[in-house]
This record gives sequence, C-alpha cells and structure tokens, in this order.
Amino acid sequence: MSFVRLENVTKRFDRFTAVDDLSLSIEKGEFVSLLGPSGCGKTTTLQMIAGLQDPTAGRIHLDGEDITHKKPNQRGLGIVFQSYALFPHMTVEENVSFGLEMRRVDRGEREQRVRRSLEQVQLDSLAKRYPKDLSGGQRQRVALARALVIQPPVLLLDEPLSNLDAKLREDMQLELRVLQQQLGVTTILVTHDQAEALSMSDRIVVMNEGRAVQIDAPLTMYERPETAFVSNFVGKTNLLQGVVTAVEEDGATVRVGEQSLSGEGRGLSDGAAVTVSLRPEKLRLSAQAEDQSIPGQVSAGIFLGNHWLYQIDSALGTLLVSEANRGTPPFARGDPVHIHWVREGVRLMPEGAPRG
Amino acid sequence: MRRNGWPEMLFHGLFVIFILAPIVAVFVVSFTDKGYLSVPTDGPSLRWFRAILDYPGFIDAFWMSLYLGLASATLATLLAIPAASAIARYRFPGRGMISAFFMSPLMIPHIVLGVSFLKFFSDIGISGTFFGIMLAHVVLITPYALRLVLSSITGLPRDAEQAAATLGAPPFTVFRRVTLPLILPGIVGGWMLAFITSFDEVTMSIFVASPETMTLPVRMYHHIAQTIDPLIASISTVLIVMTLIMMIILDRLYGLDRLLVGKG
Amino acid sequence: MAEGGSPGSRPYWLSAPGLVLFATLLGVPLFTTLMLSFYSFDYATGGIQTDFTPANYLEIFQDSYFHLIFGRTFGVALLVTLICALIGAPEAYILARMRNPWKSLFLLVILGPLLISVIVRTLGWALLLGSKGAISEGLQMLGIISDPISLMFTTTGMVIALVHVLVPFMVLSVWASLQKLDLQTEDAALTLGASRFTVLRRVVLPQIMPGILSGSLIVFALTASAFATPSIIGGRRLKVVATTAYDEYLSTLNWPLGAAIAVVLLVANVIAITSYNRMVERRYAKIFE
Repeated sequence: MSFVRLENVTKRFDRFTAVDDLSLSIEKGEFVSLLGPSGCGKTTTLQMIAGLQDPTAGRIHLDGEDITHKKPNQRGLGIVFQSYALFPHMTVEENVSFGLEMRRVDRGEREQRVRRSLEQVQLDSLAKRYPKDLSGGQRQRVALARALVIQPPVLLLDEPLSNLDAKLREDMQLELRVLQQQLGVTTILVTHDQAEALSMSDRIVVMNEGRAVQIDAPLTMYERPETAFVSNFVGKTNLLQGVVTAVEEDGATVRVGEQSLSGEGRGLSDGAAVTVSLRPEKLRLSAQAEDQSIPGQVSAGIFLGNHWLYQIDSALGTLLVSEANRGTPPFARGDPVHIHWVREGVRLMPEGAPRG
Repeated sequence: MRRNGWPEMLFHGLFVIFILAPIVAVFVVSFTDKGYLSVPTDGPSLRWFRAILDYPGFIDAFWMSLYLGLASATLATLLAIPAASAIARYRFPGRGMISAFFMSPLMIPHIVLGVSFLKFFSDIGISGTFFGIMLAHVVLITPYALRLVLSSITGLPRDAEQAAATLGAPPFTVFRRVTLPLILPGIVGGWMLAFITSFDEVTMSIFVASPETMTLPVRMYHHIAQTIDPLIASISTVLIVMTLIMMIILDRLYGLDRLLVGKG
Repeated sequence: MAEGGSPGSRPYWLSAPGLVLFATLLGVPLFTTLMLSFYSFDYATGGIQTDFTPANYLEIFQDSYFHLIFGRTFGVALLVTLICALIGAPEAYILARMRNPWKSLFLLVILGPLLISVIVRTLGWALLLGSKGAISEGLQMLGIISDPISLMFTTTGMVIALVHVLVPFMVLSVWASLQKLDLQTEDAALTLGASRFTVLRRVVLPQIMPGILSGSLIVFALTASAFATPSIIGGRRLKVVATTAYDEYLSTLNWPLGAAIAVVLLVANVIAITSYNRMVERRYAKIFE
C-alpha cells in the first residue's frame, strides 16, 4: 500500500490544462522529485497535494485516507515554498513555533521542539533574528525547520534551492538529503533543475505539458530515457534522427545519414523513425581509427576543470564529446580525431522529432 | 492565489457604492428639468448645462483656474526638476533638510497657508492679484511635482547615462537623448498632478483670491454656502467629466496608484 | 555616488531657485502669522494692536468654546481615521486579491475621486444627506424611519462625508504595503494549520500594519485641518478648527485670534505627524527594511 497516491489527477484552468490525468504512487520514506520545464504542471501538482489548489478531477490519498478536498490547514503537511514565505514580522523562533501554536502544543514542549528543530538545521544561534537579517541559505533553513517541526507525514519542497547560488545549492542538496534520510520523512520535491533531481531523489517523475512522461530511479532515468524529451532534459546529450534497418533482441541497428550504428532500445520496428541519443561521456576520442569509430575534426574545445568538452564535426553531424582531464590538453582545434562508442552507450527511442 | 468569497464581494460592492454615490448623485441631479433639486423623471434635460452660459462668473472662474493651474504647475515643475536632480544625485550637507523643506507644505494645513498668505500678500501689496495667487499655488503644489520627478530620477539607471557617455556623447547630449526621455513620464505625471491639485484647491485660495481673481472651486464654495441648486450640480458634472478624462490619461501614462503613492 | 568626490556647490545651485522661493513664500508668511498671533485686537476700533501678548493663546486654552471646537475637531478626526482604517484596509486587501482587469478598474474607481474637486464630492453628500436626499428617502422606503430625516449639519453627516473624502488615502497606503506582501506567507500559514481568520490576524494584519498606520496619520492630519467639507456639511452650527479660523479672519476680522488658532492647529499637526512617524519607525525599522 503506497503512502501517497495520486489517481488520475487533473487540473484545468479556464481553457488551459495544467495537470493532465496524473497518477503516481509514493512509498513511505521515499524522496520523489517532480522534474520538468516551467509550465509543465509540477508546481500545480504540489499545490494540489498541499491543498492549495483543488483538482478538477481525480483523487489524492494520504496514508489510506482520501484527502482530495480536505482543507490545507487540516492536512498537516510540511511545505517549503520557493520564496520561503517566512513571516517577516516574526523572529526565526516565532516562525518555527507558528505551526506548533496552531496545534496547541503547550509552551514547554513547543520551546523544546523549536530548539531541537533549529539545531537540526544549525540555526540555534540565530533564533532571535528577523528574516530580513538572514542570508538566503539561512532563510532556506528556517523554512525547512518550520516545515519539519510539525513532524509532517509528507514534506513538500517547491523549488527550495532555486534562490541560492550554485555552491550553496550543492551543499544544501547534500544536507537536505542527509536530513531527509535521518528523519525518514516522505518527501516530494518540485524542481526544474535535473542535477538537483538526480542528486537527491529515490525516484524522478519527469513531467511535460501536464503529463508524467517517465517515472524512474535517477540512474535508470539517465541511462535509459524512454523519449527524446527525457534524454534531452535529464543530462546533456547528442540527439540524432535515424531509421531502423534491423531489429535486434534488445535494440536495433539504425541508419543515421550514411552511417550505420547499433544501440539499445525498446518498441522498435523495421523502417521506423528513431531518435538516437549519444551521451557526450559515452563517446571517446582517439587519434587512430578502431572498429566502431568514425572520423571527425575538432571544431571547438572548452576546458571544464575535471573534463574537456569538445565539439566534433563528423559524418553524424556535430557531436559533443566529453573527455576526462588527464593533465594535458590532448586535442586542439582542427585536429583530425576518431569518435568511438560502445553499443550500450547508444540509446534508441521510437519517436519522431525531439520535443521540448 | 485564492479568490474573494461572497462576503468579500458584498463588502466590496457596498464600498464601491459608497465611493460612487455622491458623484452619481451630482451627475443625476444635474440633468433635471425642474427649477429645484430633483431626480430627472421625464428623461435627462440639458437645461442647467445651458444655464451655465448665463453665469459669466463661473465661466470666468473656470478660465482663471485653468490659467492658474497651467502657470503654477509649470513653474512648480521647473523648480522641481533641478531640485530633484540635486536631491537624487548628490549626497551633500543639508540634503535631508532641503528635501524636508520642499515637502513641508504637505504637512501644513491649507487653512494655515491661506491665512499666512493673506497677511503676507496684503503686507507687500499683492493681495488678490493673479501673481500672488500663483505664487501661493506654486508653494502648495511643488511637493507633488517634486515627489514624482524625484522618484523618476532616483529610479533612473545610471549605467544608461554612463553607456551614452562612453559612446562619446557630450554631457548635454546625454541629458537630452538619454536622461530626459527616461524621466519624462515622471515630469509629465508630476506636472499633471500639480495641475490637478492647483485646479481643485479651495481652502487656501479662499483667502488669497479677490472677486476678480476668484478660482472656480472658490466660487463654487461661496455659491454652495448660499444655496444648493441644479446649476451647481451641472457645473460639478462638467468638472467630473473633465477629471475623468484627465484620470484616464494619467492612468495610461503613469498608473494611477503609482502616481498617487509616489513610487517610482 | 556615481559623481565621485565632493559634489561641491552644484546641488545647492540646483535647489537654490526653489529654496529662495520657499524661504520667502513659506518662511516669511508663517513667521508673520506667528507674530500676528501675539498681537491683540480692539473690537471697538477694529484695529490690530502691535503689542506682544499671549492673550490669544490663553483664550484658546481657557475658553470652553474653543475646548468644544478643538475637542470636536480631534474627536471627528479620530472617528474618521478609525472608520477609514476599518473599511479601507479590508477593501485594499480585497482589491489586491482581485484579478485584472477588475483590479485596475476598481483601483481607478476608488482612487479616482481623489482627483475630483473636494467641493464636488461634498456637494454630492449635501444632496444625499438632506431631508429630501437619497438616504432619507431610502430609509423611509425600507420602513426604518417614518419621517424624513436630514443628516445635514450633523456630526454623523460630517463624518460620513469626511470618510468618503479621505478613505482613498487609506486604501492607497494599505495598497502600497500589500504590494510588498509575499502572498505565499498566507499559504504557508494555512498549511501550518492556521484557520483563515488566524491567517488574517497573525500573518496578514501585522504585515500591512505599517500601511494602516501611515494611512491613519494622513487621514487624521487631513481631517483635523479639513475646511470645505465641514464647512458645507457642518455649517455654522458645527464649527471645527479650520472653519473657526476662517470666521475669525473673514467675518469677525479678529486676525490675531485667527492666527493663534491657525498656529495651534499647525503645531498640533506637526507634533502629531513627527511623533507618530518616530513611533512607527521605531516599531517597524527592525522588521521591515
């Protein structure tokens, strides 16, 4: 029995369908991310779970109970808003204490729980400050403490890290994940940042135009995207258009332009158009030709610290290839190179033009 | 965001009725065909609008108010522009005091300004002259012009001017081609607000106007103090319609809430 | 500042024209009026004696007639301020939750009257409040009263008209503070278990309080010194400070006494505004930037 269950949930505004027939089951203690571009319906989904939006159709269950039309103030969920939504007229302490006051927790216990909660997010020293005196990261922690102190069955995070700078965001991702696992709280994260979703989640729901496109664990999502949209949205990739020439057991041989290549994929049929996804890190460059390689020429290369990213002109078109940094710059602009790949690195998806 | 429920909408409805009631009342009564105050029952009549033409006192007062508004608003804006640039652009000793001094007429009750000008103008011998009233109005309305010009200069991105300068524009060209177009809405908005304030002012003007230089609101006040008749309602309706047109222009140009809050 | 270094005398030259005008036209007249308030008036000859006496102030502070007038003025101002806060703040909140184009339209409807001459608006109330006005007729039709009533020349009528004239300032002021309100804080409170009412009381109200307070200040100051509306609706029967000063100047011709009344009004106004500002700033500086 799943802990949170969305059954055919739909939300329509006037003419626009924000969420279209979404079904999703989340286990207790699981960390699930709703990932997608802006306007894909992920925030609306979160707001329906929170009770801030009424679904047009479908049901939402929490721990076996139907909460579809329950008021938000009776659901008891913890939410971290994108703007943090801290009460500017209350101190850190008062902000965190608010939810407990609403639950009529007596004073002694309240103070104790507030203190413990602030310790959890390492803010106990700032309890008397007002939100305007805090940094972005500190505000984010207050919002988290405020949501967690009520011991919610489900924690909802609406783009909680999008207002932080890159370095802090990475630190917070790790911290958030550690805390979530410690507490074992079921968590739903809404984000447009694929790195955030990959790094924190047990499962990812990729959404597009109101629908769940694919639901999988991060590694599966990355390695075996089912559509061009997912492969393009999750991670960096080269997308090529091809035609199936021979169906094989777990994949097919396809023709891309003049070039024939073999890869993995499902639901393929002879003569069908496919999208071929080649991840830059699944490709390798060398000066000499080997089997399963095509010649190309380096048109640009940028250094990214731990790796290089090259742009190669080849018979397959312009490809991005990433090469680990081994201390010396191996290729220069204009160098002739050979691009290698292994069959497992070629992902075939039965679809037309890539969307999104 | 949640919508308003029916109790909120009911409250809102009553509030709007309250706001519009007196204005609608004036409007309706002005179309009566009777010789006394009444609701036009036999369809609207323009009798009392035609009657305005028989009262040259009101027509003269209207022109007086118009010229006064044009002259004093223009003068106030011309004073406000350099003062606003000084306050917005420089940090200098006395800046806070100067800015407070320019804004101080907003704190002074109009009746106090009125009695003070009455005495002062009669002391220096310009009481009841157009020049005197104009000066009094300039003092009164300069804060309104200043506030809007100030906020438009404060909100002006300095880098646009610096970009123009690095592209080789001499200072005056920078002002004419970059600064002025950017602060123009503030200047125009400030001028219009100043004009309206001058045109509508009654309390102070009562003290400084003579029968020859009486403004429209002052004449209307004296008329109402004697008698309330359909004539005054029809004159008011003309004013309402004119204000409405001006209001729509202002809203399009500047946003009425921004204009009145004085935020840039 | 971007200019860098010392600005030198430039800002002074730029503000000089305005400063000179203000110094002559504001400083001198106000000082003259202050002086005038210490002179005395001879009713027999109608002349102003240039002696120097606090007699006018003593009269204002001791005469029960003036106590009544000042008491009425500030009482009405307090009442009008209270009513404006009670109806203006909710209206601003409702307005902020509306969608466009309704939001812009009603904002225009509510703020627009600020630009219509106060004489015109007061005239409208004179029409409505009279014994043949819409209010009397309406109440009779509803059967609440049997005989026509006139609210002209009553405190109630004066308060109604003044609220109408001044409530847009309150809406405007609260509106401005609502623009800074993060609407997600309401959602946050709601999901933390607060009822609608608790959200309003504990989350919305404290955040718009600065707006209500500054709106109250504007409404109070303007009501206390209002002239045209109390004069037309209250008439001779219900004098307020401003109409009393007017009568001293233009009917009795006792300019020194009128000047003293004006000075008291000005000083009271300035004290109210500055002390209130200071109080509000101290209370809110630490919370809002």
